Amino acid sequence: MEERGPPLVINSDRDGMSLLMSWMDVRFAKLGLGHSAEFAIRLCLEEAVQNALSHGIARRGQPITVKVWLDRAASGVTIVMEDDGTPFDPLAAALPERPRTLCDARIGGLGLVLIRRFAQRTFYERRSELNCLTLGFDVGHANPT
Amino acid sequence: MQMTTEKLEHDAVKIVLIGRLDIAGSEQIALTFDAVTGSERFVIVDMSGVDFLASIGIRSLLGGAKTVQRRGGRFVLLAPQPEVGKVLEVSGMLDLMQVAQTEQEALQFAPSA
Repeated sequence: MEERGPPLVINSDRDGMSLLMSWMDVRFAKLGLGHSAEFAIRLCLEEAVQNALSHGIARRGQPITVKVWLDRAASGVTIVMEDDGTPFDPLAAALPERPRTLCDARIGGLGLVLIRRFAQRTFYERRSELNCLTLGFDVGHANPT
Repeated sequence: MQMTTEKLEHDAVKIVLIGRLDIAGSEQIALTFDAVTGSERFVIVDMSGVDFLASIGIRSLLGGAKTVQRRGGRFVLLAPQPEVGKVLEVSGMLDLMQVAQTEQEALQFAPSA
């Protein structure tokens, strides 16, 4: 596994997402993961960070900090994300019901669905006042199951 | 994210999207996309140039589809790329929206007058 290196640190909402996008562009350009794996990782990371920022701020009422590490190993890619928002397990939270008609469809709440389907391995723990989310991806097998 | 529109037969309007339909992309097209879906009865969204779709993008598509349907119109997605198609499937959107692979196929969904 390559040396983990310093994390991406995100401290605000809008600028934070722009920072994340730029960081992913640079990291993916170096890693050459292939379209399918890159798509899945980008999707899960964008959804997870956006969720942490918007929900963390809404619940706690003040800015939060999100840290993101991306580790590349022979077996795949591991994303580790920590945030200091209020406790929230995105892997245990209730998912929105699958709507039957357009009228029933609720706008929003799909990020958690996408994370759970596009990441091959998921793990959450609350540690030292931090939400710690780990997402694993098999490079070359990044399709939803 | 780039967005252009084109008039087709059957009073259809084709919205052509190119780029990433993520937070930034959704914000870039929001005003124009909402204006078209808020005024037209037959909207075909060409997704063939969309190489990334996040939940915020699904929100844009869903909002547009609901707006068009409320007025008795039709909202059709045209030729999504495979990975984008998987996002649409996982999120349940394929059960809610018409999807066509060709423009001619999309035009078959024209709403009744």
